[in-house]
Formats: sequence, structure tokens, C-alpha cells
Amino acid sequence: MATEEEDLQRIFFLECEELVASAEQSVETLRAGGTQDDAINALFRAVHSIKGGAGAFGLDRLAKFAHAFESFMDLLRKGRATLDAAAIDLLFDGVDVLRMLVDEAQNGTQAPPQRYDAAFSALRKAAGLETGPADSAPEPAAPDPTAGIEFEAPAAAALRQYRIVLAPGPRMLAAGVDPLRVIANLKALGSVSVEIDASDLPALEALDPAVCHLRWTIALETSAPRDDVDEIAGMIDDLADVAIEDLTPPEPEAPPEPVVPTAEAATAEAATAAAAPVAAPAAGAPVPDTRREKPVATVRVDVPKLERLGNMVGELIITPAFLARQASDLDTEKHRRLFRALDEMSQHIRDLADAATSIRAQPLKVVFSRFGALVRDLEKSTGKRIRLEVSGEGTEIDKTVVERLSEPLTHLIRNSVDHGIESAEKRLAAGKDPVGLLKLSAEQRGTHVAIELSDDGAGVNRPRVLAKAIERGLVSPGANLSDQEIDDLLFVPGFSTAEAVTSVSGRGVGMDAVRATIAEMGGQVGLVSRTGLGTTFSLHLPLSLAILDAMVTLVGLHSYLIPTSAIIESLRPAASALVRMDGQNTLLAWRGSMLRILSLGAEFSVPGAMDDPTRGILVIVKPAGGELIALQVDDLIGQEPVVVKSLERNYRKVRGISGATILGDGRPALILDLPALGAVMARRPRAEAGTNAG
Amino acid sequence: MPAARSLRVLVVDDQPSMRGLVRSYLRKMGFESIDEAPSGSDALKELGLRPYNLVISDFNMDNGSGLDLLKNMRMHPVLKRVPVIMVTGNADGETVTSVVKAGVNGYVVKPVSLEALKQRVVHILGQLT
Repeated sequence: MATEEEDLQRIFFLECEELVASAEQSVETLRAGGTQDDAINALFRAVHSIKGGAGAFGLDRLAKFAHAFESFMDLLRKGRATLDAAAIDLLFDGVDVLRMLVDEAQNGTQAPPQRYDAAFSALRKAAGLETGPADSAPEPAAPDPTAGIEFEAPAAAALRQYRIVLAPGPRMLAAGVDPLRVIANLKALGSVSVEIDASDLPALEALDPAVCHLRWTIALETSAPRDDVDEIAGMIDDLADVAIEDLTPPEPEAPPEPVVPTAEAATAEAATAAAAPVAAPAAGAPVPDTRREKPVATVRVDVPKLERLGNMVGELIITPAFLARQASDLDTEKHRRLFRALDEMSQHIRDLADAATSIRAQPLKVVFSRFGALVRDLEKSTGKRIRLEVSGEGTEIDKTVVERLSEPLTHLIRNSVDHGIESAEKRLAAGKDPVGLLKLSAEQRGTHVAIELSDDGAGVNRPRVLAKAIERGLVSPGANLSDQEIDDLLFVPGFSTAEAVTSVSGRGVGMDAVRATIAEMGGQVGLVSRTGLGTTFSLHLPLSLAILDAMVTLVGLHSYLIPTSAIIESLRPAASALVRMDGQNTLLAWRGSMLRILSLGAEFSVPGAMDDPTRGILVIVKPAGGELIALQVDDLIGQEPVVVKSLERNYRKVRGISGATILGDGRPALILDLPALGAVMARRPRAEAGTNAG
Repeated sequence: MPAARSLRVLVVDDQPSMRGLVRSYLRKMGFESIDEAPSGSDALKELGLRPYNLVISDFNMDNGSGLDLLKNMRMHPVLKRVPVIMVTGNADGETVTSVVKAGVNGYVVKPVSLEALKQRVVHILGQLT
């Protein structure tokens, strides 16, 4: 296959993603009883576009399916089929399979044959296409619609040329009419070149800023009728003198060759700049051509190229830190200019990194839009009634994050429907609306994006969770756990509260997988649950995967990095603030509560790490959704932006570590996985004294 | 016989991939001056900027149909003489009648192939060199 066609096909798949998402929205609108005609037409067009492209690129299965879908849509569009509940189900199914087929064509992941066959034959039937073996159904040969039709002989366009002299009267500006608007209107008719006459421009001290002292001569080449030109002139004839002259040479007999438009065409911007009285150019000076060949709103770029850019910017962003370290021995006074340059460079590189990040950003809508169909499926399979409210879907985040969010969010939604929202009867009995509410929202907070999924269900059934955890040996019997600690058990690997594996959320991916996926992206998952009122999952994700703002700490001879966004405070504890419990536990009395201390030296068996917390530093961090913990390190080195490298890809997964990096001075360092560390702590038996303090 | 490279063609489609495909076919036929417009209204703007020898438009677009573009062109004193090839997904009688009535010069049913497009283009502009 030619490279060009491959490129076009790649573009087509990108379009398909958008088209499928828009199709989904249309079906969602139809279900919600929105404006039917618009949604039906939009859905028709989306399916139609997929069909056309699929045919052109030889994606037969996709094309065939889209054809059947489109035929059904056509009947709906023309009112020859009824849009009842069954039809809407069919549309949902159709869009689902459409997405799978696009995936299949793109990645070779085969769409489930039963679903394909079922949806395909249902659509064909509904569309009134003859039912037959699905894959042998021949495409109807397109008749030649031009056969026997006489077409009008073609001819090339003819242009007329006008010279228009625009001389604003003294009241024109005062009346709020911008002469440049007139030029812009003329520009809409064809190609325009503008000359400015500034000969009436008085000396600066005599200048009345409320009066226009300029005159314009406009050469217009247009295929629009003279009436259009007169109409534009007529709008201002009481405020300005406008003279129109037709300069068109006599009609040429042969169709003209296409001509390149006049080089002197001017843009409104150029005219604006020139119209500022003081900056006006010499009278009659031609305004340079600044018109672009074609307005370009977007450019499609291959993802690998973006990734390369991102990686390079990522490498670059550690350079200032490296230089700053090299320069740290220098006298700041003597080398003031060097330091200033360093500062500036650092700022520019950060801006560059921001810009590179924003290029890769994608709205969350891409993934959020799929959940309408999911919730609908769940309603069917569980018999519960649910309303999904989505907000903030325009929030943008790194494309890779968007793609990887689909699975964990799907699981969270399944979980909320399965375990959170009660059946309609139970809800009624509890005095709630029988329809459960599921809210999915997203919002940017600084360098992070917060995604929340909340339900108004029963909340986490803590006694049951605790019983399960004890039964599975995750918690020792008789342990006294706080609510938060119990909730956290949901994320422990292997834990599942489902009595039986349900078809909804019991699919082998547990909440631990959700936490792991989010942690891999440098994010955190938390949950807040109130009995009888509902549960809220919050995901905290970095805008970009590549760069992390981290606190560099020293433990023994090793460096460990703590994401700065999670740090609450760091302190050197007084001996009196430490409460030593029996066994290995030491607690820190901090702002009226008792925090557990996790010594990184002990946790990671670092040789040469300090044992005594009073000689080290405690960094108080808040893992998402978890309790505050105090991490014990030997020393703090400073804050540094770092490029996150996967440890898993280069070595293996290490519990408590989310990634690795190379510091500005060239030394390797490990990045702490705070949620995992929090979970480790939460599972350790905790002495009585700590729980009740505060 | 007109030289393809001396002719200017405008390709109108809301899907970049489809514009790209038609453009690649046109290049294979020897055209060099090929412009694109993502909608009928953009196409009208382009048509006002420079003369075109041929317009190839999609029928069913997100933002105003190819039929509207065709009708607008046919009502225009100058653009009414610019030949238009319509690319449509369906060859049903209704669609055909509507574009033929509106004064289309040629008609290609999706999926567009180089051969089908070339046949129409040659039919309208004559054998190309």
C-alpha cells in the first residue's frame, strides 16, 4: 500500500473516532428524547461518512455494516421506520459494533462475531434489506446515474474588476462605523487590493483622533454581481464618499486560464496596521500581500512525532536544574548575568514544556462519551434505573491518559452501579428517587486534572468489607480499623465484595487494578463514602505523563522522589512529638492527630539510612484517598522537575515505586508511589493509641 | 486537450481523509492546482477568490450539503458555469434527481475509485494531457 494511502487511512481512523463518538451522542440524545430530527440526521451523517471512507479504503466489513446501519437510518430519517425503544436499542448496539469494527480495521482486534452477526442482521432486517447470509450479501451495484443525461457544457468563471474609492466623511468614526469593516465586506466578494492615501494626514499636534484622515482606493476583482458591490457602498453613503468604477475589460471570448489572484491583495490586518494615523505609510505605498493560500485551523500530526517532541522537551527540562547545580558553587554576585540567564532559560523551557503538553492534550469527552451506552447496558443487565450526568468533559488531558482512562473508569462505573446504587425498590423504601444518579465530572486543578465519579447509592457496606477482609486474611480479626481504612481495603489486590462474581463488575479486574493503572500514570485514586448517601471516587491525574514536579530526598546514599503535589509539610521532629508504640510502630503527633511514620530506609532496606527519626526529616504526604502519612528520609535536597521513566518497562514492577528518573546531576532516583505506600501502611496492624488520638 | 496541470480544481468534503483521497487521485491524473474546502460555504469563499475549472464536492456534509453548494453556484452569474462533480454515498433516484435538477455535471458514487473519478473528469473536461 502506498504511504500516502496509509497516511490517509490513519486520518480516516482518527475521523472515525470522532464520528463514532458523535454517533453515540446522537443516540444518547434520541434516548433522552431530544430534538429528534437533528440527532437522526447527525447520526445518519456520521454513519454515512464512516461507510464512505471504509469503502474507499477497502475495509469491507466496516463498509458493509455501516451500509446496513445507514439504510436503517435512512428509513428513520424519512419517517418510514418508527423510533421506538427497540429501535433505540438497535442504534446503541449498532454504534457499539461500529466502534468495534473500526477498532478491528485499525488494530486487528476482531469484533466479537456473535455481536457483529446479531447487530448486522438486526439492522438489515430493520432496514428492509433482504435477509441472507451476512457476509455473502452483495453490495447493490451502483447504477450509472449520469447515463442518458445531458449535462450543461462547462465554462470557466469570469471576473469583473472594480475600482472603489472610499473617503470617510468627518462623522464616520464618530458614528461607530469602521472603514476597515467596509473593506472587509468587499473582501468577502472577491480579491481585494488596497491603497491608502494618507496625504490629508495633519501634523500630530493638529490630529483629531475622532476623525478619519485617510482615504482608501480599493481594487476589487469579483465574480459577484455589481448589486452586491453597490449594496456594501450603499450602507455607508451618508457617512462617506464612495465612488465605484467598473474597469472590467470587454468579455474575452475563450474561457480564461485560471489566474493567480493579484499579488497586491491586502488583508484587513495589514490595513488596520496602516490605518493607525501615526504609523500610516507614505501615500500610495502598496500594502504587501499577506494573504495566506488557505486558512489552516488544524494540523494533524502523527502521535510518534508528538511523542518524540515530548520526550525531547522532557529531556530539556532537566537541563536548567543540572546547570543550576553546576553553578551552585559560583558567586551569585559575580555571575549575576549568568544566573539571570539561567532563570530565564528555565522559565522558557517550562513554557515550552507547557506548550508541548498542550499539543498532546485531548478532551476527556473522547472517553466520557462512551459511558452513556455503558450505563444503558448496565441498566438492562442489573434492572436498576440510572441517570448519568456528565460535566467538564471539555477538560483536556494528555492523549495517552485519555486512552488509558477508559478501562479504569469503566470499572469504577460498573462498580458504582453494581455495588453502590440500590435497586429501585430499595431506593423507594429508603425515600430516595427510584432512579439512581451517577455523576461523572472533570476539572483542571493546577497541573492536575481531577475526575470524580459519585453515586447516590448506599455507600460502602463497611461491616461486609471488613468481614470479607478478615475472611481473606487481609486484616487480623479484632483489628480496629477506621472507616477510611476499611474503604481502602477495596483497593487491596484480590479483594472483591461481590458475594458471587457478577457479570458486571466481577470481571477479574479489581479495584486494585484501577489503582495500579492510575498510579502508573502518576495519578492517585481515592474514595469517600457515606453510608446511605453514596460514594465518590476521585481520580487525580497529572496533565502530562512525562514530567513530574518532585521533591528530591536522600535516604542513605540513594535518592527518592516524592511528587510535590502530595506534600503537606516537612519537618524535623522533636523527640517529644514521637510516640513509640510496642513493636515496630512509631507515631508522630502532628496538629492534634497521630500519624504513622514510614521509614523509607527500612521499607526499601537502604543501607546506611538513619534509624532515628529525630535525626532525619519527616515529609508529611497525603496519598489520594488515603490517610496522611509521615515519610522518614535522611535529608531533603530540593525540588526538581523530572522526566518520569517506567521502571516496569526497563526492569520490573516494584511495590511502592511508580517510576524512575535521572536527576540533574546525572544520578538515578526512584519515584515513590504514594497510594501504594499508603495502602501498605493501612494494612499493617495499628496500635490502639494512634486511632483515638486527636 | 487541456493540460491537467493548467487547470484548477476545488475539492469539497468535510472529511479530511476523503479530500486527501480525491486529491491523491487528481494528482495521479496530472492535476497540480488542487485546493480544498471543508464545507459548502468555505467552498463558495474559495470560488470567489480565484477561478476554478472544476469543483468536486461531497453530497452529504456535516455543515451544509453539497446540494446547497451546487444550487448556490447555479444561481450565481459566474459560478453557474463552473462544472461540478458530486460524490455521493447513494445512487438512489431521489439523490440523483435532486443533483441533476440542480445542474450537476457529473456524479460519482462512493466509494470513490480513481477509475470512476477519472472517467467523469474526462467526460467533462475532455481528454487530459
